[in-house]
Amino acid sequence: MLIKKKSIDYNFGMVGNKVLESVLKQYGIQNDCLLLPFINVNGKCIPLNKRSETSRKTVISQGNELYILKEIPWYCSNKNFVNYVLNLQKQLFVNGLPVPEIIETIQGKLYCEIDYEDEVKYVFLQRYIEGNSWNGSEDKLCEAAKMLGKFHQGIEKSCGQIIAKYNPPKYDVFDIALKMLNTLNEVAIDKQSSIREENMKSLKKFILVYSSKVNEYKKIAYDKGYSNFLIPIHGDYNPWNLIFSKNGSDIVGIIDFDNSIIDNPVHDLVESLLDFCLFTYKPQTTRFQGAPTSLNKKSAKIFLENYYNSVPLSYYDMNKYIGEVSFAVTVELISLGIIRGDYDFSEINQLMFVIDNIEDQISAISTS
Amino acid sequence: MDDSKVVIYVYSGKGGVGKSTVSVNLAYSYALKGLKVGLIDADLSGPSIPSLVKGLENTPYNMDGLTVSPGIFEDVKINSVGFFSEEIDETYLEGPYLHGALHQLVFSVEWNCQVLIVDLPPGTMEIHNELFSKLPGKVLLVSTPQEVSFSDTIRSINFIRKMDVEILGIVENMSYYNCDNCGVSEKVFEGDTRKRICEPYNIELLAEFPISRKLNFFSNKGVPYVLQNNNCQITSKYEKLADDCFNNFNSTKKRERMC
Repeated sequence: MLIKKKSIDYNFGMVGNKVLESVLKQYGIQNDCLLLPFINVNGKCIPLNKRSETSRKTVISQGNELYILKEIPWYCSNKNFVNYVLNLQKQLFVNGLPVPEIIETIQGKLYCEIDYEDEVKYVFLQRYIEGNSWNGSEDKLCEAAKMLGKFHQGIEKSCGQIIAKYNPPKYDVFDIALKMLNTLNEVAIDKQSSIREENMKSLKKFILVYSSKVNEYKKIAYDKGYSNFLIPIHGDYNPWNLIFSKNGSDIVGIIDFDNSIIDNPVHDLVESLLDFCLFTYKPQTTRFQGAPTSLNKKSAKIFLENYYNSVPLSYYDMNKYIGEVSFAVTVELISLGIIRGDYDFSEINQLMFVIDNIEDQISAISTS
Repeated sequence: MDDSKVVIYVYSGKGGVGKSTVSVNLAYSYALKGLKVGLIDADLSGPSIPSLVKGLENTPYNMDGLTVSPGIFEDVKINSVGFFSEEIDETYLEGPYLHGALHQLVFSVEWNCQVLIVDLPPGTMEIHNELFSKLPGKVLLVSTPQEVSFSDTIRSINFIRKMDVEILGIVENMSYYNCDNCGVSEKVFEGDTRKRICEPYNIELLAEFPISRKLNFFSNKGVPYVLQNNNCQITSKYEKLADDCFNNFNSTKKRERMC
């Protein structure tokens, strides 16, 4: 995740009329198309703007075809990166992975570039995949883990040219955790006057202790070979970026590659493991609900087993540094939760308890 | 959608005249007669039906594909954006999104109803054009006996006729105050709807409804008045209004058949 300090807008709305007009023309979509503001999430009606916190989206219906028009989010909208993620998605589709097909413009481009209010917006069109979201079932958990394994292998085999051509960003989980802690520090400074003294003390301790420990763990992980296995990763393989089939638990869509970077695939493995087995979410959103208490060990074991059963033995090396990575990713995600206001400053001690225990818990499960 | 359906648009050029209360009670009057009824809250930016019909607000609205399946309360199928987004006022649906929303909430829905009541937003907007053109029906005007209301009603009549949509008649709301204790009725406003609207514009006055504490009480509770008050004047008036509107559609059909 590329980190810039910018607030998330939970009423972000749909793609605006001016942008739409220009984009639809470039895709040759007729004016009689329908732009649908409500989407189906597990059979429930959700206004699309409530699902879109960082980028505007629109569902387009024309004849029997359904598409999603999506703005590339503000935090990753540079041209080279846009080219990287969209070419990656295109390649994965061609290779038979369940990712949405990107629809090209009349001129054969993967996206439209729109000048809008002194900034450039990148907008692309992809086929809408119907299905269900994550509902907590064990079958879906297994499928999510297996698919992550397939995804990593697919991406490892087929994306050499894309990496060479677009030179995508290269970060590791430790850099990301440190940047998130830095952003948290900025937020703490901004909100200084409204944070109670004892909470501020805990927050400063949180930032100080974990910054130092993340640096220390980075060194340990690198010594154990973290940097020997670098491939393009999804970067945000969370339950809400997976579409499950309507009548089963098969995955029919992996979406949102906006956080894709070059890193060790253990990054995806641990982040998704925590997303599925530690964090809880507000209904139908990616926002966390309530401070996490403890890892669901049974689910975590199932997830890891299914992942490792679907990848070659060489991937087992990730177990050497999975503990350190788990620590860094938990720091990152909990910091994100505090920054977004999902967690209250008064919950910091409880959150620190979760972070301090995660490394041992995941290491124990992965060795078993 | 089924062509044989009776579609009644409840409309007023002015807000706050009790249009949604009339829509709700008219819908439930038909339901009490044993008809299959649908109720559409077409006011996408200021939906009122959820506060007048409580009981569906905590039920997540289901979707079939990308079509919003109506909620069902006491046998009436209801679709309103107010039921599935309490923060809908922050969602500004306009232009092409408005057409999309109507498609998802109204046009692609399998209503399977004999009567469809559409509570229109006040004013003259593109949403009215869209509905009138894609879902043929007739308009029931709602007004109050006040000068300020008359001028809006006249504008509404001109607008509806320009759209080439037939007007069923007018309902005068807040005609008088009806004391629930002593039964005495008293006019509150001075205006004369017959003289100012009905005669010059050749529109039938179909009903006069009072300002009533009891009606207000049930509206605030979110319970359709006619459901809970069987034998009373207001319910009888709604029954008659429902019959008159329905007969109007039947006589039109007869005329069409004869032609």
